[in-house]
Amino acid sequence: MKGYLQSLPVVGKIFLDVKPEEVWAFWRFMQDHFRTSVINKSSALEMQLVARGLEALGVQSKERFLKNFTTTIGRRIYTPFEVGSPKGGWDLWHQVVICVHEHQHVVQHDREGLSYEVSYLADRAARARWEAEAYRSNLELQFWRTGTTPSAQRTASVLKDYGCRDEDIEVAAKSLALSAISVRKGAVINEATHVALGWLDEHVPRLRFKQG
Amino acid sequence: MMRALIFSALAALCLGAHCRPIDGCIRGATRCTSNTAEICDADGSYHELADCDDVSKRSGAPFVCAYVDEATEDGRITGHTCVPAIDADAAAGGGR
Repeated sequence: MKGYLQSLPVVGKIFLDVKPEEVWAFWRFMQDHFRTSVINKSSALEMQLVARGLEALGVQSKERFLKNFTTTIGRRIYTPFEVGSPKGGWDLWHQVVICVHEHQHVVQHDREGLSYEVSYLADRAARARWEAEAYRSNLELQFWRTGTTPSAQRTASVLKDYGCRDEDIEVAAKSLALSAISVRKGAVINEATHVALGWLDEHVPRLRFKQG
Repeated sequence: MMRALIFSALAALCLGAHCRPIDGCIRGATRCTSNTAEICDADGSYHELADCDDVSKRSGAPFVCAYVDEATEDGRITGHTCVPAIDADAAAGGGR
């Protein structure tokens, strides 16, 4: 809803908390740091094929996969939005958060090598683990911005969309809840968050939650 | 040649998927191994939750792996995670 409001001509500016050029500069910084590239998901042939495959397997509809999910393969990040252009479901702050989330997947790729990609595809418990780690970046960014952390249960429940089992989601929720306790005590756990907060503190400190 | 390719593919799959040793732990159980918090997944194996040495570097303050028991929005959460060393010291001191 917020992304839709931000995208409206003239009045959209009222709903901008972060400027489009700031979002663009942030993505540029993260891409340079992690040596990644951003590709429009809807125009990428490989994503069309993946979308068809997922639909054929009954995992997810093609349209939902292409519109609602950002996907990272190796160092290539496929986005369903133009960076810095708000649209329904993708407001500008959400674009910042998803940038950090996807770059944590790049950290996993660098840290684990091929076993990360293989286990992500073949092992639902592992997939839940990788996603819980990436969603920890969402949690860390929310804490930086608002001083609060989201419900771990609600955050973990999105893993249903990734084909994870209830028992995997239960472990992911506990993992996120324990991480939230650390984050509220001042911990920065994820590497991508650490890099991102360095830029955000320097360039958009006005967005940071101020205590008291 | 074909057989070698098949074995290589299977080995690669095993590397990342189901062929790792099972710890036989209880789902959601946690522990500290050295200064790393670990959590047991649904398949009964411990995996890293957070390396508190890395957390210390990224947070600019020393963190240690410790047991927590806190009431949160998600209910009562108990288990091992990284906490500031100063908090862990205080908790240990309080028990003496």
